[in-house]
Amino acid sequence: MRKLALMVVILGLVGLVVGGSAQTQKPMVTAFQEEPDFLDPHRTTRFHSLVVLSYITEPLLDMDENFDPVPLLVQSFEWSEDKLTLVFHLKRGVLFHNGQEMTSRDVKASYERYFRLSPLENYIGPKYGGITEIQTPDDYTVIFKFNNPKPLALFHIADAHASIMPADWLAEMIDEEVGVRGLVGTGPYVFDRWIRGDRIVLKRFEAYNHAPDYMKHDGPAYAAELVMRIIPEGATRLAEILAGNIDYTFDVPLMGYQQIAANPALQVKMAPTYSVQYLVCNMKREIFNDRRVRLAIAHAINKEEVVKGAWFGIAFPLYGLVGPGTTGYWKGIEEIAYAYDPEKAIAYLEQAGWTAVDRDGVRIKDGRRLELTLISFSNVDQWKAAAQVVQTQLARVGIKVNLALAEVGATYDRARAADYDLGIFRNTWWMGQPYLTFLTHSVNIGSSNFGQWKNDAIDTLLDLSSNALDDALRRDAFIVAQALVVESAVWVPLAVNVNVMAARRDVGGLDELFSHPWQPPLMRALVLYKQ
Amino acid sequence: MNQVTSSRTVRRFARNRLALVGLVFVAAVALAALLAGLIAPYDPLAMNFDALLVPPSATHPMGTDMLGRDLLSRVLYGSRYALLIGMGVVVLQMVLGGALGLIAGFVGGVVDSLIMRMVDIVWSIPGLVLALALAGALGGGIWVMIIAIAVTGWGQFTRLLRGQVLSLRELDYVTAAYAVGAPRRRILFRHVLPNTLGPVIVYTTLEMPTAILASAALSFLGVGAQPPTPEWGALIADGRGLIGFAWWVSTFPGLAIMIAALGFNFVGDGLRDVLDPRFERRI
Repeated sequence: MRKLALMVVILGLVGLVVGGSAQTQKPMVTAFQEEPDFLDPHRTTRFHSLVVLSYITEPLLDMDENFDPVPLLVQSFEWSEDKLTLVFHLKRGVLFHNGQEMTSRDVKASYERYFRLSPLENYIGPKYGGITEIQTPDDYTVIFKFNNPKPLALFHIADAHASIMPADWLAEMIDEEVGVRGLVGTGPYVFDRWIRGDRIVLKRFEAYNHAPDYMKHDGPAYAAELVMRIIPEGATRLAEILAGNIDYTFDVPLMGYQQIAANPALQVKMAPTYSVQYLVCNMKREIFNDRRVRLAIAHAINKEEVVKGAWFGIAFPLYGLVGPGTTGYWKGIEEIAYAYDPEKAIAYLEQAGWTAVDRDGVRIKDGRRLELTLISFSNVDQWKAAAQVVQTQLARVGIKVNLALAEVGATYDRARAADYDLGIFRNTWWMGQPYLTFLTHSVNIGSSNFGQWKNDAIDTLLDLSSNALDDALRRDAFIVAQALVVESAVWVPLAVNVNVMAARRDVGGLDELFSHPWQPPLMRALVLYKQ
Repeated sequence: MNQVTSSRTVRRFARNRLALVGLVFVAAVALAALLAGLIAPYDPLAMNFDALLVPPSATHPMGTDMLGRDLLSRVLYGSRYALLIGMGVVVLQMVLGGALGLIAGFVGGVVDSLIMRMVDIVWSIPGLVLALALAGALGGGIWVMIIAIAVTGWGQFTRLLRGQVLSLRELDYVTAAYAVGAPRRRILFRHVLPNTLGPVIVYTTLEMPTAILASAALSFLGVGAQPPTPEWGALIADGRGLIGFAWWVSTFPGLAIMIAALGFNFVGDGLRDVLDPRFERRI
C-alpha cells in the first residue's frame, strides 16, 4: 500500500515537471492604471509602456536579485583588459516572434536605432563617448568598441529600453509605427492587439525557452494569453479586483487596500519600490534664483503628512531623489535632507524680502504676491492629493499655490515646455546613477530635468559617477551628487511608495516573483501562473 | 405689472405646493451660501491628518474626506460656487443669447438668418462635449467653466427672445407705436423688451439647475474647478473611488446638488405656471 502511495506521488511529481501542469489555455488578466503612450522600447520613457513592452522584447542582459547583470539573449560576454572592448556571444536558436533567428545583425540594427532615438540613452552611446563601433564578425558574435571606458555599461545594456528587434522588420517600419502598429521581439509574449482605452492583448510565444538563470522556469509562459486591461479609474479598478475579474495587478488603488487585504479570495504582497515622487522648482522662473525661496519651500514641506494624506500611509517619506530600493542609494541623505520647519521657512522668506502679508495671508514683495502654479497629474488620486497637501503646507508659510492638474500627457507637455513654477512628478528606475542623471543632469533640460537647471558641480559628479574606473571614486561621486541635489532645494523629495500587488488566490508563483527586489515584468510573465 | 396683478401672481404661486418646496430648497442653498462663513464648523480647506475619512459623527456631521477636511463645511462653502456658477452662466447666456435674439427678431432678414444659423451650428454640437473641450483647452477653473457652459447654451435664449420679439412686434400696440413715429430703439426697449421678461425669468430659473449640473459634471470629469475648491462636482469626484467604504464623501455633495437642482426646477415650473397664461387652467 505504501509502495502504491509512493508511486502515485512520484508519478504526480513527474507529471508536474514533464507536463508543466501550470501551463494553461486560460487568459491571465491584469489591470493597469495608465495606458502606455506607445510600446517602442527605443522611444518611450513611460513606466507602463516599459512594463508592457518587457513582455514582448528583451535586452541582451537582465539583472538578477542581487542587482548583477546576467545573460538573457547572450550565452556569455567578456571585457578586454583596457575595458574598451566588450564581446557578446549570442545564444543560438533564439527566435523572434516572426520566426527569424536572432543574429548579431539584429543587435547592431537595434543598438544603432536605440542610440539614434532613445531619450533615455545618456551613457553608452557615441554621443557620450561610449560605443563608437559595433562589429559583427559572425552571426553569433557582437563586439562593442568603446571610446572611453564605461564602467556601468552592463547595467545600461540590461535595461529593457535597449531591447533587440529584428533588423529586417525595423527596416520595413517607419520609426513612429514601431510599438504602435506592432512590436516584434524575442520575449515570452507576442503582441496581438491593442484596443485603445480598453486593453492590450498578448499571446504566449510557444518557442520561448531562454529565461535567465535566476528564474526556475525557462519558458514558455504559463498563461496562453495575457490581457492587460487599462482601467485608469481607481474605483472601477478596485471593483474589478474585488469582483475577481483581475487575476493580478500592481496598480492597486491604495484607498481600497484594506478591502482587498480583508478579502479571502485575494492575496496581497508588498515590497519597497524604486518609484519616487518629488516636488520640483522650475529654475527658469526668476523667483527661484533666490535660494532662500527654495529653502523656504523645502522646509515648509511635511513629508509625513504627504505620505498620510496622499498614500494612506502606505509609503515612506523620501529624503533624496534616489530611493532606498535603487542601486547606489546613500542612507546618509536622511541626515542632510531639509527637515519640516515652518518657522525656518518663514524666516527664509523674510530674509528674501517677502516680509509683507496681504489679507489672504499671501506674502508680498515689491507689490508682487508670492503666488505659484503647481502642475501634476489629475488622473491619479495620489498625485491629486499630494498636490493639495503641498498647497496647504505652502499656504501655511504664505505661499499661494494654484493647482493646474491635468492628465499625464498634457502635464508632461507643459513640463517639457517649462510652463510651470512647481511640479510634482514620479519617476521609476532601479538604477540609481542613470536615474539621477535623467532627472538632474543638464543634458536632460527640456526632457526630464524638470528643475530646468544646469549645475556644473552636479554634472561633473554625475559624469564621474558613471565614468570613473575607480569603484570608490565612482561611488563617492554619486553620494556627493545625491547630497548636492538635495542641498540645492531645486528638487524636494516627497515619498517613496510601496509596490502593492493584489492577486486572486488561484494565482501562483508570487513567492518566487517577490524573491526579486523589483519583480521585473519579464519575471511576471514567466513565473506567474493560474492554478 | 401692477400691484393687483402681482399679488394675484404671488397668491397663485403660493398655492403651488411643489413650487413652495422648491423655494424652500433654493432659500436653503442661498442661505448656506450667504452664511457659510458663519455657520460652517471648520475651515473648508483645513486638513486634519489625524481625522482622515472619519464617518459622520457629532464632531463632523457629514464626515471628513481623504485629507481630513470637514465635509459639512465644504458642502456649505460649495453652495457659493454652485450659485456663482449658476448665476454667472445664466447671466452670460442671457446677455449674449438674449441680445442676439432681440436683434434677430427685431431686425429680421439676412441678420436674422445669420444669427439663427450660428445658433444651429452651436446646437449641432453636444453641449457637454463642447464645454468639456473648451474647459480642457482653456485650462479649467471656475471662470473658465462658467464661460465654457455659457458658450454652449446661449442659443436657447436667442431662440426664446427671437420668438417672443417676432410675436410681439406684430401686436397692435407695437404697430401703433410705429404709426405715431416712435423711433425703433424706443419701440424695442420700451414696448418689446419688457414684455419678453416673463418667459425669460422662467427660462432663467430652469437654466440654473442645468448650469449647476453641467458644472458638477465638468468638475467630476476633472476639467472644472481645480482642487482644493469645494465645488460640489469636485467633491463627488474626490469620493468616487471611496464609495465602497467611505460613502459619505460623495453622497452629501450629491444630495446638495440634488436639492439645488430640484429647488430651481420646482420654482421654475411654478413661475412658468403663473406667468404663462397657457398653463393657468392647470393650477
